[in-house]
Order: sequence, then structure tokens, then C-alpha cells
Amino acid sequence: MKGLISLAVVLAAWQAAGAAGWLNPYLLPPPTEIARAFRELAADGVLLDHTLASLWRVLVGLFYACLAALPLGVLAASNRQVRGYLQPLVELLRPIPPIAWIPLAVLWFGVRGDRASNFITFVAAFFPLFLHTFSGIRHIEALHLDAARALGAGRRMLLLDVALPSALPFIVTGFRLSLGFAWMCVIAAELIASNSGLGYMIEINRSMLNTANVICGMITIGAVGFVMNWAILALERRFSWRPLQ
Amino acid sequence: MKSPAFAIKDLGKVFLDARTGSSLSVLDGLSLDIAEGEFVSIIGPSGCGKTTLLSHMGGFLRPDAGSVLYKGAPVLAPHPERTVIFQEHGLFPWKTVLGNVEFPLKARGTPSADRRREAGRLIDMVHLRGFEHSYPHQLSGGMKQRAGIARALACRPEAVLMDEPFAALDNITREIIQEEILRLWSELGKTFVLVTHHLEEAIFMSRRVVVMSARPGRIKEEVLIDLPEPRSALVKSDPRFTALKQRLTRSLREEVAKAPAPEKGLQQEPAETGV
Repeated sequence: MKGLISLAVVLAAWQAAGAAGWLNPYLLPPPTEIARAFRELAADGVLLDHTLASLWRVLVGLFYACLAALPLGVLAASNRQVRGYLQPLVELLRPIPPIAWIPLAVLWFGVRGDRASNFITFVAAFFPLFLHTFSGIRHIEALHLDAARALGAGRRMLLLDVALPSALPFIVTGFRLSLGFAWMCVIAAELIASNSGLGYMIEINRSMLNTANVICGMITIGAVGFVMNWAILALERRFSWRPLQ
Repeated sequence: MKSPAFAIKDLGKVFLDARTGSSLSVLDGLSLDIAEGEFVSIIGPSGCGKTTLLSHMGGFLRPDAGSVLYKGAPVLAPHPERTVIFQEHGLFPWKTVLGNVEFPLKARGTPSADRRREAGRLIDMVHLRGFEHSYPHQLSGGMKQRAGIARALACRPEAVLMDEPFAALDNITREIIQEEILRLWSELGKTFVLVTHHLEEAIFMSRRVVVMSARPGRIKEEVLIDLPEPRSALVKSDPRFTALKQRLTRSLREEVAKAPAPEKGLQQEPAETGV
């Protein structure tokens, strides 16, 4: 409720400042102008197309990240050899922000099509997922492993009935972070290396000084990110076997 | 005496502290035979290595010296034939009661329908009907322990190893579960080994109580408990029960006096679960 009040006050002040002629409409159009732009973009389907393009890239990148990070995380956590080989490599690559890969992605995949952006979302999603899977598996209680072995569990059951479900709350958290991260990075990638998507949309509107449309894009990016995070949080609650406080 | 289920000879175990490089001799020259179908309790002062001994019998630890044989063969790894009832948090928190009890059946490759039936029968046996689909965190301590017992029995074990299984229970629940375990023991005729620091519990439940010495642990004495069976709470007012209790208390006190300063932390013997 308090949040709504402060939001209304900011919007009213903004609108008033615009009406008073204190704001340059090319730099910061008033809220009513943005609302009008929003209706237009939504009506002709442009906004939806760009949103879906961005979402699709996030999903593709996330899909491949799951494919790579889950098995590697499990392997690295359960096998000392693999851990020895993998850990330095991961620690070396992890501090490089995914957006720093964009120039390379452009060189490799070009600016047309989805591939450069898909690659960036893959890079963004890989590390949180890998690290959370890894620490989830490493955090299994020794007591549970002992119990499983005393009850006759073989390798397959140790993995599928003990290690993975035990690590699931960690993995889902990693998934949520990956999704949020990939969403931020896809926008950055599209600013540079794409001809569709919300990032592309705000960049092309900037070059045409269509500031209202830029802000529409920004709001959409925020809203989609918010909804995704909320959905995964609900999923986290659903899949967490830990008693909730 | 029937052929031994467990034959432990000159067992020795040394724990190394990786950080300080110091070593701690936990068991030294421990020998013990346990007959098939027997109910034996192991008592001893804190830190005497009771749990370490049980971990060797379960196959979680390998001896540094001597040998642990089960039915004539060395114990090298955990096996459902010699299963363990852990304290209540040994249940898998991500599985329901049914899922936990079905776990060993699944491990054995039992088809799904048979699994369900068998698990249902065991859940009935420990009076948990109606809680099949509850998760461990939704159960009381006593119910969790019952679920743990049902899960262990689903292994169709020949030997059941218990490490302080009642420690977290209140007195009444504790007595009820003790009696249930005794009932199962007399029905099933399997070998039961109980590690406890609770003297009355050891006397009440066992045919034989084994007293361990202070660290490094070895067998100090073995006392046959010739109280009438089946045991009921009445046994505790039997004069022989009191006499046994006095005798064992004395024996245990001597060891506690010998034990190096009461190190509370050592009671858990943390290295033991580190497998």
C-alpha cells in the first residue's frame, strides 16, 4: 500500500514537471506519453514479438546450460578427479562477466539471428546452475549417505534417490539465479548483437530518439523479470523438502 | 552358544586429526562374539568408542588392526543384511514415510506393486498407518523412530545395529519403542545390537550387556542378563534387575573415573560418520 502511494507521488510529480515544461520530452517524456507509446506497441504486436524473441533466447540458453551444468556439477561434486580438473577452469572463467563475451560471440556467430544471444544466455546461466548443483551435492549429510548404503542402495539409487533430491533445493535456487542472470544478459546481448528482442527494440528506438518507446521496453524488461522470479520462487517452495519457516 | 553372527578379534582403530597431525587410539585389542539371534547392548563411558565399534560392524569403517567377521566373512562395506537404525534424523527428509520404507525394497529390485504391499505391512507393524504420505518433519520424534525401524526391517536384515536410537525421545515414547523393538526381536529372531549410554535400557532390553573400558576401548566385562522373557516394565522392579544395575553402575563408574577429563565433544565421535 505504501509502495503504491510513493509510486503515485513520483508519477504525479513527473507528469507535473513535464506539463510545466521543465523536462525535455526527447530525454524524458511524461508518463502519459509513455502509456500512449505502450498502448501502440502492444496493439500492433511489436512488443509481444520482441518479448517472445528475448524469452526464447533465455530458454534456449538455459536449456543448454542445464544440459551441461547439471551433469558436470554432479560429476565434479562426486568425483575427486573430475573436481581437480574442473574447478580451476571454472574459477578462471567465472569472474568474466557474460556480457564481456558479447564481442567474441559477435565474431563467432554474427549479429543476425539468435545464436550470439543464445550463447550469451548459456554463459550467463551456466555458472549459477553449476555452482549450486555442485554445492548441493557436496552438502549431502554423511548420515544420509551411510543410511542409503546400509539400506542397500547402489550407485543409481545413490544418485537418483539420495544425491539429487537432497540437492534439489540448491538446484532450484541455482535455476532461479540463472534465469534472472540470463534475462539481464540477453538484453545486453541484443543491444549489440541482434535484430530482434527487447534489447534490440530499446536500442533502435534510442537511435530514432523515440524515448517513450525506450522506456516502454525498460518497463517490460522489469516486469518480465519480476514475474519470472516470482514464478520460480513459487516453484522453489513447491520443490523444497525442507520444512519452511 | 550358536554359531556367532559377529566375530570381532583384536580390533584396533586409530583416528588421525588431519589438522594437528595427532592421532587418537579409539579401539585397541577389542574382541567380542555375538551369537545369531542374540540381543546385546554395548555400554561404556563417553568417548570409549562404542559408536566406532558399531560402525565397524556396519561396514562404515575398516579396522586398522584385527578383524571383524560377519558369518565368517570379513565386513568390508555396508550391507542391508546388517542394517542400521540411526537416530531419528537418519530418515530421508525428501521422502515420505512410504518412500523411506520402500527405499530398501527398491534397492533390492522389488517390483513396484509388491513394494507398496510390503511397505504397507511394515508401516502397519510399527503403527504408522495413516501417516504413509507424511514427510519426516511432519512427524513426532517417536513416529520418526518408528518409521526408521520399519525402513530397517524392510531390508529383511539378519542383524539390526542400533546407535542410541532412543536418545532423542521423551521417556514414555522411549519405553513404548523399546517394548516394540523387543517384540519385534522375539517375533523375528534376528540378531540385535544396541549401543547406548543408558544403563537401565541396556539391562531391560538385552540378554547380554557388554561394558567397554575407557578409551582406547576394549571389552571390560560381559554380563548375562538372566531376567525373565518376554520382558515387560515389571522386570524393572525385579530385585535381580536392581542388583544388575548396581553391579553395572559400579563397573561403569570405574571406567568413567579412568577416562581422560570429560570431553563432551568426543561423545559424538565426529570422524565416525565421515565415510
